Amino acid sequence: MHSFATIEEFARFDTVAFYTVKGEENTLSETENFLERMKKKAVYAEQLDELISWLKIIGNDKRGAVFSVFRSERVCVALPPKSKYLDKAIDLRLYCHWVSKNVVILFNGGIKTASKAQDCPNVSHHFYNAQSWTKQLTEIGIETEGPEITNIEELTIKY
Amino acid sequence: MASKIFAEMLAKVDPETTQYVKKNVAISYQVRDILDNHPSINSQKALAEALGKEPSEISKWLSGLHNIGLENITKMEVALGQDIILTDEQAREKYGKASKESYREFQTIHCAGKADQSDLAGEVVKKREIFLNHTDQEEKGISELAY
Repeated sequence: MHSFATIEEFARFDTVAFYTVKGEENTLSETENFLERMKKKAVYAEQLDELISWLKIIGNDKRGAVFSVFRSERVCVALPPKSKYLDKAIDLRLYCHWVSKNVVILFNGGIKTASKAQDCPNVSHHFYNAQSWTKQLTEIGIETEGPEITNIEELTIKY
Repeated sequence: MASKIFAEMLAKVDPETTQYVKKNVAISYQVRDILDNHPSINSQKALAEALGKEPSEISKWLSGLHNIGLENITKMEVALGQDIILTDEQAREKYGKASKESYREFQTIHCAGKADQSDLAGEVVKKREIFLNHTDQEEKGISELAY
């Protein structure tokens, strides 16, 4: 039997509002769960700080969340911004659903250790959830006005 | 901030990291803006060709999280024929001196009280952008925009 999840605001900046998914029985949202798990991994502290900074800077930039800078991950997208051949490998992945330049829904993620997310024991679960949630949200239809999701109460998804 | 956990983590980020990401994102967007308006090099692929690099390399530079480096910025500036970053002094020299005439014209257009104030706000931003990207052609554009 499925439980359900709702969408709630995660962080709001001048141009972009980031939302997240929260399971009805959970204390933490999906993205908070991601942050809590990742901050315990000291070796990834720098990557995590850069990702957090990126959310703030893009959130306050007049251009907003430009779609082309996100990584394409089948039906959803991911952060950090794409950089296929970085000198240093960026292993952190935060899956998300890009709705508009003003609205992005952040999901969960982890440290990607395989070339394909589907093959990675750390992120495959989050990858598949992100695909499923993106499809469900697209089917329901997210209505926005700038950074506001105006039908947020209708966005209940299978968790 | 809706998420207290995120707010706390954001507050703890080293200012150097924030500044590093901010500069990288700014440079990345500046290059994208130049490509959007460049007469011949108007895509990352075209820029890659001009620099003799792989498109993936340029994609990496413009990710906003990569240390592009002054050497690579200079290469892009030479290929694109324009500055990507300017110091304050260089910016004043480039736009301040050269644009006195168009700035006066800009003031004449927008301070003459011919337009409704509500329309003016958006137009001022637009014209200011034209002013900051001053060229002969754009100066002509400013003249043509006079009412």
